[in-house]
Order: sequence, then structure tokens, then C-alpha cells
Amino acid sequence: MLRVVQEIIYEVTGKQGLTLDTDFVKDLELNSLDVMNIVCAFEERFDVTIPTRDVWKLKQVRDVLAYMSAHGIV
Amino acid sequence: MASSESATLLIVRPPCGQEEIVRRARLYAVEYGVPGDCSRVKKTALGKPYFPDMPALRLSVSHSDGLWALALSQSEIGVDLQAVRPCQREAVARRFFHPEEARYIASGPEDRFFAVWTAKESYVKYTGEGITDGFREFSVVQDGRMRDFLHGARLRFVPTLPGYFLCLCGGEEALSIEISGLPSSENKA
Repeated sequence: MLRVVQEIIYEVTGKQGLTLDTDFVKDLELNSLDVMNIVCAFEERFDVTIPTRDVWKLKQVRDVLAYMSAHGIV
Repeated sequence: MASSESATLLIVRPPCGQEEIVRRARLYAVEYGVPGDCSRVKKTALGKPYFPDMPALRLSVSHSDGLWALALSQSEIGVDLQAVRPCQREAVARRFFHPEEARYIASGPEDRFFAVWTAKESYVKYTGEGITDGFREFSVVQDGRMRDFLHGARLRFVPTLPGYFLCLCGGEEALSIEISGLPSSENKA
């Protein structure tokens, strides 16, 4: 799952070397538009809709994996 | 700086840390006689930055692709800076924008996406609500053109460097702007 997340973020932003602790804003310096693009990529890849109110809770890569697991997104 | 008591100072420069925000805020506070202490910067639960010990001074910050924008004002303010670059314009517009905005973007050049994006972002930074489920409930487009005002707040695009959009949102006081940091922008706007 980590590899999938890494792939999507690389496709959208060109950023590599993500770990579970990678913070999207502090470490990758992503801005809001980057996040929106990533959300769209995730939603398209997994055919899901992520409520906007949930997006800002996902601050690190580990948060994304936990969210995917909790919502049955594979 | 401008002599207006409510001038907005807009700084655009390479990225820097919180120390620069505090330094710029101190200069503004001295210039305009704003009381309090701006050495601490905190964020609300929705991510809006503020000076807890200098409530009369408001700030908004944005960054994109090597540039950073800081807006300081004595009235509520929101700023968004965005480089024009490849992105999933149609998907983002369809997913996060108001239908009227999505139609406006689909019917014109790619720059329309970035105009709408920065206008919307600056507005939700001005209100302090940030990007929520309500982001698609309002439209910065009306009758096929960009609005100048939204719910009483002024939306103003400020020229910066080629390839960037910058939108400032605030009250009428936001019309009085001093710009600092750009190679040829030590002027009033």
C-alpha cells in the first residue's frame, strides 16, 4: 500500500523518497492545490470519494494508509 | 509605505521561515502604530494564522513553486499565490469547484483555472474557514466572468511574476496595497 501511495504522489508532484513519517506540507512543501490534485488522483485510482473535511486530517503518509485501511480502500 | 491607516502590505519573495513573518510584521507594526507583540504566530483550528498578542494585525501566507507571499493588514485578509503548471484542471474543477466555475474553466484557456483557484483560496483564507465541503458551494464566477466582489469581500488579482497568479481578498481597505520583494514592484497597487 505504501508503494501505491508513493506512486500516486510521485505521478502528481514528482516527489520521491516518501516514508510513513513524511509530512505532506512540512517535508514535501505541498500546497493546497497539490493536495487537491493528489485527492483527485486517489479518487480516480480507487474509485472512491474522499470528503473534503477528511482531507486535511491526512497530514502524513501514515495517516493516508490508516485512512485507506479504515475505509476499506485497497 | 502608503500613508493609509489600513494599507495592506504584500510581500512576495523566495520562501523563508516564521522569523521573516515576525520581522516583517514588526516593521509594519512600527510603521502603522499597531499595538501589541507580534513575536508569536499561531493557527486556528482551521489553519488560519494569527498573532495572538497583536490582534489588530492580520496576516495571510501562501507559497507555490519557489515563491512565497505574505499579506499583512489591519483588516481581515486572504492571499493565494499559485504557479501556472500542469495539474488535473478538469478533475479538480469538477470535484472541488462550483458548477458555474467549472463551466467557465472548460470554456476558456487554462489560465482561467488558476484565476478561479487563487480567487477561491484567497476568499476562504479571508473568511478563515479554509477549504471545506463548502468550497464548491460558492462561485467566484458570475454570468461568465470573474467576480470583483464575493459576499462583500473584494477579490483583487495582483501582478507578480510571469507564470504566477496572486489573488488578494479583503475589505475595501485591501485596495490600498504596498508590494515588496519583486524585482520591479516597489510601488503602490
